[in-house]
Amino acid sequence: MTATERTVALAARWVACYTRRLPTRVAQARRDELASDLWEHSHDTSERTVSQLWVALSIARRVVCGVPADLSWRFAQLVSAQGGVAEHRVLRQEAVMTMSEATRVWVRQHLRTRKCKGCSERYTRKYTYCPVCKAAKGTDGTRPAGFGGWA
Amino acid sequence: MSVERNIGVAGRHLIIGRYLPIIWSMRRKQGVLLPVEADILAAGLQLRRSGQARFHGFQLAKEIADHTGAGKLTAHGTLYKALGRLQDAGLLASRWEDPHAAAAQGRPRRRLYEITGAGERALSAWRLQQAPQQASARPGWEPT
Repeated sequence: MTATERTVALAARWVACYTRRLPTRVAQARRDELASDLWEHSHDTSERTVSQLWVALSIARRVVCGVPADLSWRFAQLVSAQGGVAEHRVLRQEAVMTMSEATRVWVRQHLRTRKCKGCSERYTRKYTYCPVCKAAKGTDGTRPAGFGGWA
Repeated sequence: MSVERNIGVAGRHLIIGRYLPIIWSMRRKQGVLLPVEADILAAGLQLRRSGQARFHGFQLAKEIADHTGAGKLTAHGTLYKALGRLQDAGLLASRWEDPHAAAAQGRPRRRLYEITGAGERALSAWRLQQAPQQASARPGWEPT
């Protein structure tokens, strides 16, 4: 996967993230429009001649600089979708939903993985040893004192 | 017990609902163009002069970057939010490209925009309003 493809995938994930729980028609239109823009940008011959890394950085800059506008657009869409509901209520609802989503992701991450005592990497619980440093579950991978050598 | 009572006197002054109406009352007046919107309309007119009456978002971003001399493409959020506002105001019209035509070329379908008569008039009015500053600060969009 090239740097450009990776950045395009990240940008598409961001679009999917801020269009969640919006009316289907509005969300789909924004996703389609951004998919087209990202495709055009990544296949733009004038920039392609510079370098793939340059195109990736350019896409990343456009995503990051657009975040405040994306969020305010989302908020405006939520307010108009829930016509008649006070704006501060929508904002409060949005804050609660974001926090609960973040908590859900964090809990899932910590229930599915464990931290290795040897190299501090997180790995899936289905393994009984760390796939990075090979330390067994609950140990730091060092040899016990008085150990004569591996058999 | 309400949330307001739980958070105490100090917290009550920080309730977002008290301050949002202030921010909302600062919304701009109807019919006033923001610089990014004027740039979009000017870029659209430029593209029309070069024979492309209908254009897509990325084409606009490139045209704006070329003519303002900024060299950087307008951010996605800023561009598409402004395009939405212009469309709601009737200054731009849009339609989706035929999906079969796009599929035949192996790319996602484009949303094609077109400047309306109202859009042209709004840009002319904005230029007249901005003429003194535009001459020194924004040389890229002089009418040809």
